[in-house]
Amino acid sequence: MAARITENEWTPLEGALPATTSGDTVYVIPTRLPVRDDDEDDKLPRYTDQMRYFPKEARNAAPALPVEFSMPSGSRKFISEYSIDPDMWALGLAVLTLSNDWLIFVTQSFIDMRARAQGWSPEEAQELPLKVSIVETKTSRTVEIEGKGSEVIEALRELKAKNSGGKPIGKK
Amino acid sequence: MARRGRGVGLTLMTWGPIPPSGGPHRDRYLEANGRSALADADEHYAIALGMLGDLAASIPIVHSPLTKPDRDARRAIQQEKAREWAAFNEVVPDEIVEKLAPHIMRSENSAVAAFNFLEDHELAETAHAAIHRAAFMRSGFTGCAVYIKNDGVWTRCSMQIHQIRVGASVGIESDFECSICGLLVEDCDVHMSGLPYPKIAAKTESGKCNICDADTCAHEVGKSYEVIAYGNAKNIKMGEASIVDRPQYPMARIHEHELDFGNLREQHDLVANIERGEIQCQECLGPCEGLIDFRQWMPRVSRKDLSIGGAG
Repeated sequence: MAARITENEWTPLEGALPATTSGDTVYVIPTRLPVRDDDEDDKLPRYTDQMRYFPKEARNAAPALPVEFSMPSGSRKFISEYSIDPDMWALGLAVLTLSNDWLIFVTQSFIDMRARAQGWSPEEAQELPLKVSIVETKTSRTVEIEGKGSEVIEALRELKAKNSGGKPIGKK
Repeated sequence: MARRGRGVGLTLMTWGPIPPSGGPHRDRYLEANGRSALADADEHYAIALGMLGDLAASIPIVHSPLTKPDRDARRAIQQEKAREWAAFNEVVPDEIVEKLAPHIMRSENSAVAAFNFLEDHELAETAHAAIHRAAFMRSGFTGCAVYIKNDGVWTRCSMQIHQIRVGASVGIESDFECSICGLLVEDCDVHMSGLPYPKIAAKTESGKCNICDADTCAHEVGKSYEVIAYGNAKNIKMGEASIVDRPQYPMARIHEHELDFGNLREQHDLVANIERGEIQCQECLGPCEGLIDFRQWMPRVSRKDLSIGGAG
């Protein structure tokens, strides 16, 4: 089965996007509202706790990987929720263009992080459900891809090829 | 004034490392802790039974579970079992009951823990039966006094509480500082949580050792020690508590709940009896009526009824 792809149906939360976007950097964006809605002065979106270690772990696996939080240090807030994890993990990203060379690598790093965090084998982790929401900051276009990890990676390959003007990698 | 709904007390989190949230790590965590708790429950039940010597052969036996909920049938069985226990207690010396009581209480608590860990495991029914077994003996020997709280009558009866298969999930916002360098963990690319790194011993602003957090210890200031990196929680801001069917902390469950005794302000004698510890809940003596899951339980309680307990 192929991943489910929707375009321009999802909108990032206000304040989630980076102030400036550098060419090849992949920005991890927050996808949650504050847990309390009674503070009028603090409406900034929150990262889920899974994201706290993600850019660091991804850079640790590949030191040159240009992945960072969209919000600067000191302004980021994280929500920890203590029920068992949903089956589907979700990743929010912002890039200058969808042809970004690192989108696939960053998404794969996220799948790998889940494997390490929960004890799955790399092969098992590829089969777990995943949703990746991406904003192309240059055009404000948004894409959401949902499916097994391996399907999402394949969909990202096709998306990159389409947006690079070439044929999908691995396709004749 | 309209009577409010019945309340429950929830444990939100428990001390210690955060349990794995899912996947094979969580399965192993639940199984290891569940088996350990079940073994403890078995061991202390056996000790308690052993203390009875030859009398153990004539101890009242737990009634088999009811095939469907039936309050009248259950109450009749409860009363019969109460009579059996009253007769049995006539022949058991008080000093034996005193000695076995801590073991049977421990067996009951461990059985509850085992069931919380193993509720989705093939040993779930074994753990469930261990709760009934221990609670039945505890109630038979020492009873189960109810108590007054917030103008209501409450119980910590594990037999009643374990049947409600719901838990608590708390939403928290917090920072985590790297235990080695003090940077926010997401900004520290050097130290990975769970791995060992050298750290120079020093005193913190509050005078504690930065290696072990003790006021006095053997760590020498200025000397390097190998320590495991972890995230130190700071700036914790509590959010909401939700009721969920599978809490990440397996023991984040209801620990007490309110019984329906009507308006206590009109029942002075009852209140006096409860305060003297004379009113016993005998639910533990009755048979199992089955479990109540998240969907069945939620309509029975409103958010305002939840009395939230701290880390237990």
